[in-house]
Amino acid sequence: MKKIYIISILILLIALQIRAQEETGRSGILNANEQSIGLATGIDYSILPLKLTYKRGFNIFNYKFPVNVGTDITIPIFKFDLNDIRIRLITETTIFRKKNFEIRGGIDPMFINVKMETETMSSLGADFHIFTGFTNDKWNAGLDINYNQIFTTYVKHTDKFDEAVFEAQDGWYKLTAANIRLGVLVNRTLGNFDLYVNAGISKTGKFNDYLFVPSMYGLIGVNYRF
Amino acid sequence: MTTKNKLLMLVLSISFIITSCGKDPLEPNNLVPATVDQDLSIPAIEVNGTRLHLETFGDSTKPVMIFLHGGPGTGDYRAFGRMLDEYDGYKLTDEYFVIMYDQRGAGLSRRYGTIDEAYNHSISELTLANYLKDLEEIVDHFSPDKKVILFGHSWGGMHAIMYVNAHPDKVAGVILSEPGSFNAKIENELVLDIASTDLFDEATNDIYWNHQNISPDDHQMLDYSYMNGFYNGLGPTYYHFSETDILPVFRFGAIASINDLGPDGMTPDGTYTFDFTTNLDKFKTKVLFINGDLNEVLTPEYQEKNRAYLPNSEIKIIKGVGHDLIWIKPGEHVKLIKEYLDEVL
Repeated sequence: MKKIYIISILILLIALQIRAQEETGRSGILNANEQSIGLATGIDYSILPLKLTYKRGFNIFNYKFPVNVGTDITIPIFKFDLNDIRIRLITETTIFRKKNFEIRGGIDPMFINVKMETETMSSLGADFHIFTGFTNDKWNAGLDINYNQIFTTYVKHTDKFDEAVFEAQDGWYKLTAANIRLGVLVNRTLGNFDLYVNAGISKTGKFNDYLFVPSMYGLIGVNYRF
Repeated sequence: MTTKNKLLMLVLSISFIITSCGKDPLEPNNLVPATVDQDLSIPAIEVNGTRLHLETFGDSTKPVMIFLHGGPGTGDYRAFGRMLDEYDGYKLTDEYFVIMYDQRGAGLSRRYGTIDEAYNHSISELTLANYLKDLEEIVDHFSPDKKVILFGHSWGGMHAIMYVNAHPDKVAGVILSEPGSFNAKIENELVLDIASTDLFDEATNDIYWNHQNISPDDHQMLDYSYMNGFYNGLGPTYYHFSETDILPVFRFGAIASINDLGPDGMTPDGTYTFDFTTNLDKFKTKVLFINGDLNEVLTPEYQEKNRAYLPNSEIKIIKGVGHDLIWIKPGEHVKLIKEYLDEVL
């Protein structure tokens, strides 16, 4: 776990050193050379988790729109500990723009850890997300589609699981999870602040409901640009 | 090749390597044990168009005693394992031919349905009629000419009473360990007293969080996720299960559990409609109820509502135990069963 945190911090520091170049002035996405920090909460595979975000805008490969790169860390706050954590390296850029209509997207590599009484799971995967809708310098509002795929998961069972059920195989497992989210995203820029709401349905990759818990998500958050 | 293409190739290569490695989570015996359909060496019986995990213990010439586990879906016959042991120089198999099986959709028996069907309690294979028919064929197979003894725990007690109601002439004795309700009237009143999942609980949040690691799409993953939920705090606290001597299972049946009593036992919105008491007055043999004193829902007082349909019954209380009494106090059960059967047979 420590290695993951150190790698995340290093990537953050490297990101801060990359030189940004251009500005575009659209709500919800950073111009080149802009940075933001933010926090959010709501329903995000947990009730009232704490989500911390850092992003920076860059010009990369002379691409005509700024690319936002950063990281977010989400922690369920019930019985707070860092064994339950999600770390994403977030990327987002404009893919298509015509007047106020815009399509944005990105791919976010992610690490997820959960520790329970019966096992610990550590997963590596990626979020693929697309936003399409209206944007200007004060607002952006539209549909948000997010598909995340876990590529591999390390599972380590405890004695409790072995005794209560059976001696399950510990080790690496491939493609253990996928989730799809369909929702709306509304962002309002007020001075240096971006206030946003993102909510919708959340289902498994095969579009099945969740077990025990509601198949939905909803986040309210704020980012401060500087 | 441009830098951009090199980067793309690198990302694709890493993704391919990562996804090529690792075990298949759906492979039997990786995260959950194989079912009787996946491993033909597991002891099983074919009845009523299904395949059930079933074992027999003892001498087949002796009176047949059939064990019915709790659930549906949340238990299997592994919970009865200790009741086959010897206590005070006596084993049930000394006098009886014991049959234990996992009901359809539970334990290592065949799986049915999808989670969406289960949420509507609409799985056509997981019905009260089929649970009854499975037991009828097992009775006919092992004891076609003689009456049987039934032992049921929790839902298994309801299952036993469903059989008694249908075939009062085929049952020699009934032992019910903390049974559930005999009809919808009692059960619907009971449901009002049971708390639903607490969204602000740590266990709920762990299970929610874990949906990012495990998708409950297939029976393997559903059962695995269900086990995680049950053993990480989502198991009902009002049942007072032991935290140090855990009630074990072969494998949970998530779909059977969510489907609950199915389309002929409840409505899609979860209101119960079943009635196992319509013919109970035909059964004159004394029935033994066994109850712990810690269970906050299936209390001795609650059992009086069930016992009203069986005037010829007796209830014995085992102290200091919750709903896992079959696992925690097996010796007491064996003693009470012997005393009861010595009286009624």
